[in-house]
Amino acid sequence: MIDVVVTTWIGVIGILALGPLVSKLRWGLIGLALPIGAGIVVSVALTMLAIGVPFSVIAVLALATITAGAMSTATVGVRNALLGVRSRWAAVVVAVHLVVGVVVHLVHLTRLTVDSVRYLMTANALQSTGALDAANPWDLRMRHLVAPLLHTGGVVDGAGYSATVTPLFAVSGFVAVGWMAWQFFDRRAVTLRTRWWLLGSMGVLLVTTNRFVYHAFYVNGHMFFAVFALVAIGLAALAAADGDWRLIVPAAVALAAIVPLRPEGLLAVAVLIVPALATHRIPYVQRWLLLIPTIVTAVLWNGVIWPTFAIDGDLGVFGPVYGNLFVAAGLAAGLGLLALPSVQRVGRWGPVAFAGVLAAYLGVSVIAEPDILRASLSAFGANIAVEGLWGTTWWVLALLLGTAWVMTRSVESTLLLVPIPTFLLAVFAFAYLRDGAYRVGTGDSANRMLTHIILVAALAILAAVAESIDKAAAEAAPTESDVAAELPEAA
Amino acid sequence: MTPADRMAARFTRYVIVLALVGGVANLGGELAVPAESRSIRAHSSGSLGAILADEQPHVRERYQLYGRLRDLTDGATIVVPRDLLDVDTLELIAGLDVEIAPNRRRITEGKLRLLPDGAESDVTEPTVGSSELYPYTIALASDDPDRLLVYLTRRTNTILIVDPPTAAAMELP
Repeated sequence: MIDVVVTTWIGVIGILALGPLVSKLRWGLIGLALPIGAGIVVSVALTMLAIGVPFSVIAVLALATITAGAMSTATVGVRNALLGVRSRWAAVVVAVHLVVGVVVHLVHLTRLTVDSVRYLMTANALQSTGALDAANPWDLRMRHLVAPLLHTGGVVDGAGYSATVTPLFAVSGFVAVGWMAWQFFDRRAVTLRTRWWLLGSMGVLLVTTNRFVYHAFYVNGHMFFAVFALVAIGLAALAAADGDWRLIVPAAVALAAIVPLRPEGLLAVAVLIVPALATHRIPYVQRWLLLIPTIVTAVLWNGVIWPTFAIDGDLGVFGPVYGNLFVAAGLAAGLGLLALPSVQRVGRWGPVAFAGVLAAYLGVSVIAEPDILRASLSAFGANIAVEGLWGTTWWVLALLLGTAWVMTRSVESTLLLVPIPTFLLAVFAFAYLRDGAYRVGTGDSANRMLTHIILVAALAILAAVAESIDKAAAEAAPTESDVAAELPEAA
Repeated sequence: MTPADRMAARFTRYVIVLALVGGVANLGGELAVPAESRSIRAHSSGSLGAILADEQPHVRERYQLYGRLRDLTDGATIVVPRDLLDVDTLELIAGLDVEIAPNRRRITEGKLRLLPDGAESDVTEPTVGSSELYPYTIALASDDPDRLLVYLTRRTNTILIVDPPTAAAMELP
């Protein structure tokens, strides 16, 4: 049960870091504390590994707690640094973590595959040696750091894995979708009854989806990705809609945590973040704030794994390491160019240009090897239809996303909707990067990657409904000229 | 009610109804699967060994094998059940992509071949599994013996897989 304590501690780190926002977040703290705490833990552990400080779970948690406290202090001062911890919502977060932790230890629903074992072996190596030296270099390059790191709590108590962390991420993601949607509902004229119907029906769709529940218990990184992506893009969209730029900091923490999560992490971050970097609705400085942690993390992580590529020289470092650094440099250069007035005018086409680059890469690759795309599309279709065990979920979401795309124009809808088709484009481009077609079955990579965007898709639909209702209310409200026409002449 | 009102109301209903119908269909599909065949089911215990035994018995054996190999010192030997000797196992135990040559004739003739670090592989037959080949390691599967010896040299990341007679001839520890 040490893993329950460790996961709860990570949640408390998140509460501490989110202290300055606690009056705004309220019950949203239940959804955001764990992913933000985990994001800080990832940053601290990665820094330790990069500079050669021996790793231990206790040291990482202690340093992450100090870091979260420093973040809070820097924002609201020493006297208010514990705002988050003193909040009554902090007690609720801890209670939820403990209850979920105890329940998952009673029901034993954890799912494992060969991939899971490889993550756990890296976790084992990390905890037993205090460094990544003993980790399997191939696994390090293919499986990366975040999932092993978040399972070290379970390694400490001898269980070999953390039964708690993935289910709690799923619960956090579920609550975070609800809280973020509620914020969009608050901004629009959505009645209480409609809100509950919308959240309830979307909740039913998610919890009856075999793959969503499976990934909530599966020892792998997919649920972590889904929740980090939701928190990053959801908070950025809320910030852009509300003008509350304090939300950019947790968004940036969650975004950076995706980089050392999977081999395509940085490219996936680019897919998610380009619309936010391109919009003038977020001030230029805030956009840099959103991007910088990702750039720093990319440099640190690729610095950590570069020697493993250098030793196995035949693999080459160009694709995996230089490729990632090239993407990081491209994001920074793109945002840098947006400082130029002439570029600002065309900046809103940034997401289209990025999708165009992906499409061009895919197009050239298809000309060279059409069979990979043909087989991938066939497998992807079969997986969506039946074999991938998504049930009706992606059919329903695709219909609703298509409608949302047509009906919405707001900045929040743009930030939430645009990454979804770009992500699908990127998934097929990845087929060529990994040099092999996708397969039919639940274990296929593309089928698993659909988990990464399911929470963003759910939030995008709910935000689109709020926008459509608000539009209707705005049109129904009397205009100034209507009011003037109604007034008596003498007045 | 304005056209925008009607559109918004229709979209809201559309979302609620589709999500609920989709959810009910998902649940129906899940309940139609026999309990013992469901991909989400409870294990008897939460221990890693119990879950692996229940869900991934072959993974459990490999994991145990890996645990034993990790504790070996240079030059030690360990017996590996033949049915565990495949590409996945070899990747697990040493982190190397290994090619299993289908040319078993050499083994039966007692001519174990081990390529030194950096040497080119001369295996021309189709290989099993892995797309990336580390040129410094080659493992040859044996034809006959039920159990094979793995000789692990951590310093050079080299695995020798030999049949017991060959191992005896090589005077492995």
